Amino acid sequence: MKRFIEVNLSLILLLLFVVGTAEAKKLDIRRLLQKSAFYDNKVVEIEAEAVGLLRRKDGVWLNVSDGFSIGVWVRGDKKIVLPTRFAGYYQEGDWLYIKGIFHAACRQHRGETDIHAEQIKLIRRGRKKTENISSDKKSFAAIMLAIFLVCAMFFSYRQKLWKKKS
Amino acid sequence: MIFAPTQKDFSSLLNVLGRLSLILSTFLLGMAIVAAILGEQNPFYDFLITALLGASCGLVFMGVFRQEKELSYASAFLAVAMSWLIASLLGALPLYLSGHFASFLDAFFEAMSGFATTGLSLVQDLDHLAVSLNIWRHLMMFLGGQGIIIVAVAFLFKSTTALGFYLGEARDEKILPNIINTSRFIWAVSIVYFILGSSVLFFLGRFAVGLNIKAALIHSVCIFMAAFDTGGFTPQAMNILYYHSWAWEAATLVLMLLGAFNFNLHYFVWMKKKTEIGKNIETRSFLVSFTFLTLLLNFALFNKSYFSFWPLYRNSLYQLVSAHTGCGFSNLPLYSLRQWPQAALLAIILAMGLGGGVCSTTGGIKLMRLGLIFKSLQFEIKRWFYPPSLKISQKYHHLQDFILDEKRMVWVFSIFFLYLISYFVGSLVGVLLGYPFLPALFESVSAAANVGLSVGITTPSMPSLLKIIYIFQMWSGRLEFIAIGVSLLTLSSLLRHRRSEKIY
Repeated sequence: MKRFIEVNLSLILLLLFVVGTAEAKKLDIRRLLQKSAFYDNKVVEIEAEAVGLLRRKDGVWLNVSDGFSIGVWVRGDKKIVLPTRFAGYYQEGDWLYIKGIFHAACRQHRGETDIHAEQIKLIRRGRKKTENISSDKKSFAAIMLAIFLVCAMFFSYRQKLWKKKS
Repeated sequence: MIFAPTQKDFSSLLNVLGRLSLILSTFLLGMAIVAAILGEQNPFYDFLITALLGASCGLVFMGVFRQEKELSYASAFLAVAMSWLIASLLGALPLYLSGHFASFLDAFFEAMSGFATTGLSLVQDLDHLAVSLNIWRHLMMFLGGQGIIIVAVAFLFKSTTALGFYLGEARDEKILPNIINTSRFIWAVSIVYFILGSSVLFFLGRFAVGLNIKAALIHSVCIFMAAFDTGGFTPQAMNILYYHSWAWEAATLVLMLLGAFNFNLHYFVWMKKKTEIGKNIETRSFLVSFTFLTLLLNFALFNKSYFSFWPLYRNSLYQLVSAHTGCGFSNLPLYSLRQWPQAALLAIILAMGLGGGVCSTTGGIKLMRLGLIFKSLQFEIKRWFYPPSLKISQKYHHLQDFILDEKRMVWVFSIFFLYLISYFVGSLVGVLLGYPFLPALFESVSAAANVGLSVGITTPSMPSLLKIIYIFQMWSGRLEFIAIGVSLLTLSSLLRHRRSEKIY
C-alpha cells in the first residue's frame, strides 16, 4: 500500500511539474515585460503579430505585438524564414511563434529589452482585409456638403449686406 | 473701473472663433486629400465630414456675428481658451469615427493631448491605425506647439488683437517689435527646422534604421513634428523603441532640445550673438537642473539591473531629456518606468515638472521661472547679510541684463504655485480613485506639464473622472492658467452684462 501511494504521489508531482513548465512557456509579452528581471537571459516562447521589419548589416529587427510589443533580433547567419506581412491599416500581420533568449537590458544592443530569436514559425499568414464604407457615411458626407454650400451662400449674402451698410 | 464687455465684444469674439474654425477645417480638408492619396477611404470620409462641419459652423459664426471692434486682451484670452476646446472637439471627430477609441471622451482626450503637445494617448491598436489619422495626430501637435492662434495671428489679424492672442497662448515675450512679425518668425524658424530635421530623420530612417522609403518619409515627418513641438506621440505603439537605433534616438534628442529652448534664444543665436547661449538664465538653469537630476537618476539606477555603461546612460538620459523638454518620447518598453526605483521616478517627475524655456513649445514651470526663483532666494540672502543701509539689487541675464523687480517675481511665484496646485490636485484625484501616490503624482505632473510619459495609469480603462481631470490639466497647463482665469472672468462678465441688458 505504502509503495502504491509513493508511486501515485510521484506521478502526481511529475504531472504537476509538466503542467507547470507547460504554463511557463505560454508567455504573453506583458508578463515578460512586467517580470523582466525574472525572465532575463532565459529561453522564452511567445506568439505575436509581426508589426515591422528593420534590416541591418548583421541581421534583422523584427517588431512584434500581442497587445504589448517587443523587438526580436534575428541574426543574419540564422536560417530563419522571416514574415512578409505586417500590421497596418486593414492589414493583419503574420502571426508568429517565436522562441529565443530574453534580455531585460541587452549588452549587445546597448541596453535594449529584446529577444534573440532561435526559432520563428509562422502560425497564421496575415491578410489584407477589405475596407467597407457604410452608405450612411457617404450620405452624411453629401448632406454635410449641401449644408456647407448653404452656409457659404449665407455668409456671402451677409458680407454683401454689411458692405452695403458701411 | 468695472470691465463690462458689450454686445460688440461678444459679436467680435464669436466672429474670431468662426475664423479659427474655418482655418482648422482647411487643415482637415488637407488631411482628407492625404487620406485620398493614400487610398484610405474611411478616413477620407471622416476628415471630409469633419472639415465640412467645422467650415459650416465657422461660416455661420462669421455670417451672424460681425467683427465690429478689435478684441480687448480679456476677450482675446477667452478666444484663445475657447479655440483650444473647439480645436480639440473638431480634431477628435475623425479620431472617434475611426473606431480606435472606446468613446468620444477618449478621442477628445487624444486631441487635447495632441493640441496641448502632451503625448498621453488613449488610442487602441495603434499599429493598425490609418496612416492619415496617424499623421493627423502628429499634425495636431505641430499646430498646438506652434500655437493654433499663432497661425491665425501670422496671417489674419490686426496687430492689437494679435498681441492679446499671443499673450493668451502663454508666450511671455515678443521676439520682434511687431507681434505679427514675431509670429511669422516663429513659423519661419519652425519651417527651416522642419526641412532640416525631417531630412536628417529621413536619411537616418532609410539607412541607419532600415525603413523603406514610404515608411521613412512618414515616420520622419511624424517624429519631427512630435519631437520639435515636444509632443510625444509616435506612429507605432512601441514608441521610440520601434527603431532600435541609438543614432535615431540621438537625432530626436537634439530636436527635443531645440524645441524646448526659447524662440528668442534661437533668434539671438541665428541673428545676433552666439555667446548668448552661454550667458542666458534659461540655459544656465537647464544645465544646473539637468546635472543635478542626472546625478540623482544615475545614483538611483546604478545598483539596479542597469549596471553597465550603455543601458544606464542610454535609457536614463533619454528619459530625463524627454521629461525635461516635455516631449514624452520613451526608448523603454511600455510601462517599464513602473519598475524603476522610487528615487529615479522622483527625478523624472522633477524634470517633467520643471519643463523647458518660456516662449517655446514646452509646458511646465519653465526654466526662466526656476532661474528667477533662485535669483530671488539669492537676493533675500544678500538682503539679510548686508547692512540695511546698503541698497542691493539682483541682476539676471536674458538677452540683455535685467534687474529683478517685485512685480515680475509676483508673476513668477503665482504661476509656480498654480502649477504646484495643479500637480497636487491631479495626484489627489488619482489617489482618491485608488492609484498609489507616486504613480498618481507621476501621471498628474505628466499631464499638467504637457509631457506625456506614463507609468501605466493612462489607459482607455481608467476612470472617466480622471480622464476629465487630465484633459483640464493639459488645457490649463498649456495656457499657463492665467488665460483660463481671465477667460472665466470675461465669460461671467459677458453673461452678466447681457442679462442686465435684457432686464433694462
